[in-house]
Formats: sequence, structure tokens, C-alpha cells
Amino acid sequence: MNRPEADRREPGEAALLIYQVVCLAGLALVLMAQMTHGLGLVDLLLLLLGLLGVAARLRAAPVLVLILLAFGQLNQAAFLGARGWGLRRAGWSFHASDIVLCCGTFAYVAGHLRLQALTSYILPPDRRQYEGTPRRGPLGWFTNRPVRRRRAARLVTAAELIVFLLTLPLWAVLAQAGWAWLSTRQAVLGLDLPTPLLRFLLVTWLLAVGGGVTAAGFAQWRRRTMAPAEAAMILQDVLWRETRREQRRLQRWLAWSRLRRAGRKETP
Amino acid sequence: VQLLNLLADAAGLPPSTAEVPVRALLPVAYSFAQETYPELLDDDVNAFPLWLPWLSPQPAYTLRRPPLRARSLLHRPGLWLRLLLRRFRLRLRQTFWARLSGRERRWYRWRKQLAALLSVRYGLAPGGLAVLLEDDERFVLYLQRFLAEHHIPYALPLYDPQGHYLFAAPGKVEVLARALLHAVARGRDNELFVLLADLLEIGEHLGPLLRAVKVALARHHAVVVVCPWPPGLPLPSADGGDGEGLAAPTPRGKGKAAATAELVTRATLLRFHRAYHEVRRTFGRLAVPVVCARAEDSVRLILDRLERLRGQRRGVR
Repeated sequence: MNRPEADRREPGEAALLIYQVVCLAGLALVLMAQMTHGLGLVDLLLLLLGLLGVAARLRAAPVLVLILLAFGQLNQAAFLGARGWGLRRAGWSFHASDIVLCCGTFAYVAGHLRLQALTSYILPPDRRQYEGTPRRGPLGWFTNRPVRRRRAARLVTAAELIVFLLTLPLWAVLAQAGWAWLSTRQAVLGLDLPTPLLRFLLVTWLLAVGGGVTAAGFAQWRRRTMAPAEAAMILQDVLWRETRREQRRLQRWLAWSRLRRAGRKETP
Repeated sequence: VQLLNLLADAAGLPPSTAEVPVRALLPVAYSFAQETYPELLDDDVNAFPLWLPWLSPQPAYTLRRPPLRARSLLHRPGLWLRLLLRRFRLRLRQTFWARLSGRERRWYRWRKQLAALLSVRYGLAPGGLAVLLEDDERFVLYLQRFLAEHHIPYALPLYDPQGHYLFAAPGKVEVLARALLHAVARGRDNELFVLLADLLEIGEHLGPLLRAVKVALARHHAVVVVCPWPPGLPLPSADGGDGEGLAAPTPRGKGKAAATAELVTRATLLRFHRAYHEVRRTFGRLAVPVVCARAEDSVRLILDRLERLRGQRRGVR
């Protein structure tokens, strides 16, 4: 049996089981953290969605769980804030439940994505490669499914799992540190803004600037490593875009005149 | 050695003709380019505005229309009407169908991206993109060059809709005539000029060469024409018949496909034989022998002519 056929086999049950257990453990941690404020309807939905995501291997499960969790957190904050319990605290204070929540969420999302890599595909399917002979439907689209490459189950090792589990608290602590840093910015910046709004603005600003700088860096790197033919294509494309109307008119006129000349020559 | 090198170079040239429709080569070339040069078809470097085929598809007046010929004066009005209808149909197709059809729009995108690729590859940039996008003939020629360079097989038609052989290359007649006149002008003894050229199916363009041959004969030179003959086809008979009595080729299969293949083979055979006899008759009027390269007597004929020329020289002395 060759390599792609081997990869197409059902992944090893052990590897699947490991990541399913990681997901369930993560879900349990999230619910434990939520229990400190009391469980509600949103938490029940979260539990059901999480379990369904693991059992049915829903590809959208990690995103849906994150959205539901964020909604639950915002709802809880609004509820407590309305009663003046001061959840919209100006400063930062350590809460163990936050660490547990971070760890649980991260374990569920990362574990589910790794589960998908084993059962569905590890990289997005290549639209240029189809299973079997390409066939077109009545609308001209290919009816074949694109080729999907799964991660080989034999590549899941104990070391990978240990590193993954050990780094979970690290990311949670880093998130807490970031949160604490954001909370101290008001004093540094001296802006008279509500703390949640300032946090939101700072995070948005950092993400936007960071994303922009990263994108510019990648674009510059791509241009530096570009082949001369690609660079020439870009220049040619820019010129064509700028002068397309004039070039088109000229070339169409030339083609027409050449065809007319050829027609006259052929006419007996 | 130089002659052999030139012949080898010429033999290595891929056949190409501007008469091929763009649609016959575009899918082959695009799928190959997609596999081999995906980075040059990427939207970042080779973008295609989605609205372009909707707003400005290729106009009908830049598309080639095969010429129609009237067989007699009586057919002229009908021909005029057919031409008008054909022009109207083409305009209608380019105005509506080219915009509405998804396949047409996709092919327009493929053409733009391939035109950009070919323009950069063959050093036509920056204006080459627009030229190849609007001019079917040039685009088709560059597509054939691109495919031939990458050894991708593609089908070329051998005859145009009027039945003319597309690779006859009548331009070679002028070249041959000039070379013959040049050689005649420098020849001192009675020379034998052996014209190794495919003169089949260009009967109406032989004028300049016939004039050059007349000049050579007037200077007491001898001329022999040797025409190549396609492998696999039976040699023409020496009696000058049109090949009507040729035996039908043996059927290779059953059914319509085999019958069609037989018909095509037979038609090709007849066509070659008629073309050969026409060339033979044309040169025969000047007493210039024409032989097939595959004929067993071609070498003997040349040697015989040489011997005759030597005899004439001895007689002169």
C-alpha cells in the first residue's frame, strides 16, 4: 500500500481518543470556571455544543464555542454590573477561575482543531486537485470533491501531547499578564475613558497596527524574493490597468485593419 | 555542413499556423500554465477585473471570418446576404452571448492571464499584453510557440475551410526563385540545379519559380525538381492519372469511424496525387523532370542528368 492510501485510512483510535479526552477535559475546566459565578442557560448550551462538536466532529465547533463563551461572559458582566457588584473593575486582580477558564478554552479549541486534522484535513483542500476524473455539473462547476489530506495518525506522539498540556498554563498566565498590562494603561495614558472601552481600544489598536506592520513586512519580503518574471508581470499589469482603455482601442483598431487587409487580399 | 545545420534547424521548427481558432489551444495552454507557472497566474501579479468581460468583451470586428467566394455572378447576391447575416450573427454573439455565458467569461480571463504570461516570457512587455489580448492571430502563434517549447501536443488543422493546405508556405517559392537566379548569374559551366522543395499544393504560386527555371534553361543549365512524399502513402503512377483507380486502403476497424478514416485516407491520397501530377505537368511544359524523393529512380535520374551534362561539356571541347 502506498503512502497516500495509508494516509486515507481511518486514523488510529488511540490518537483520536487522546484528543477527544483533551477536548472533554477542556470543556469540564470551562464549566468549572463558570460555576464560580453560577451556571446559566448559556453554559448549558455551551456544554451541549461542546459535546456535539466532539461527538459529531463539527468543523465549526471551536468557533461556535468561542462565540458562545464570549456572549456568556459579556452577559454575566452586564448582569453583575447592573447590580453594582463592580465587575467592571478599574484595576486588575488575580482570579484563579480566569486561569482555569483560559486553560479550558484553549485546550478545547486546540484539541478540536488537532482532532479535525486527524479526521478531516490538515490544510485547506486544494481546489486544483479533485478526486477521480473531473466532471462538470450543469452549471459548469466541478462536481468532484477536492482532494483532502489528513494528518497521519502515527505522527501523534506522547511528547507532542505532553508539550501541549504543559504549555496550557503558560498561555493562560501570559493572557493574565496582558490583561493586567492593559488595566494599568489608564493611569499611564491619563485618558478619562471607561476602563473596558480603553481596553477595547488598546487591543483593537494593537491588533490593527500589529497586523498592518506584519502584512507590510510579508509583502516586502515577498517582493524581495520575487523572481524577475513575477516582478515584470506586476509592472506590466499596472501599466495595463492604467492605460487599458487606450491600449485596447489601439490594438483593436490594428487587428481590425489587418483583418480587413487580409480580406481584401483574399477577395478574388 | 552549414547546409546540413540549416536543414536540421528548419526540421526542428514546430509547425505553426495562425488559422487555428483560439478556443482550440486556450484550455490546453492554460491548464499547462496552471500546473507549471502557478506563481505567474496568481491574482497578486496577474489580476483580472471581474467586470471586464461584462463591460468590454472582444468585439466582433476583431474576429476572423472565413472568406466566402461566389462560384459565379449569379451567386453574388446570395453571397452578399450570407456575408451580412454572418456578420450580424457574430456581432450578436459577441454583444450578448460573450457577456452572459460563464464559459465565455472564463475563457476571457484565461486569455488575459495567458497573454500577460506570454508577453513577459517572450519579451513583448509592456504593450504585449494588450496586443495578445486583442489580436487572435498573434495570440495563437505565441500559444503554439509556448506549447511547442514545452513539448505539449496540440492538434493543428491541416486545411482551411476552403480546402487550402495551411502549411504550403508559398513564400518559399520567391526564396527559391531568387536563389536559383543568383546561382544562374554566377554559374560558368552547364550546371544541374536540383530543387529539393515541397511544391505540392501551391500550383497557383509557382509563377516566379517557373520564370527563374526558364532563365536557367535558357542559359543551357539543367533543372530537376525533387518533391518530398509523405511516408505511408503509395507513390503516384508515372502515367499521369489522377489516382482514381487506386485500391481502397484496407479497413482497420468496423463501423462509422473506420469508414470515415478510410474516406479521409483516400481523399488525402487523391489530393496528393493530383497535386503531384499538376506540378509535374507544369514543369513538364519546360521539359523539367519532377520526381518524388521516395521514388527509386530519383537518384538514378539525377546521376543520369549529370552524366548527360558531362557529355555535353566533352562535346563542346
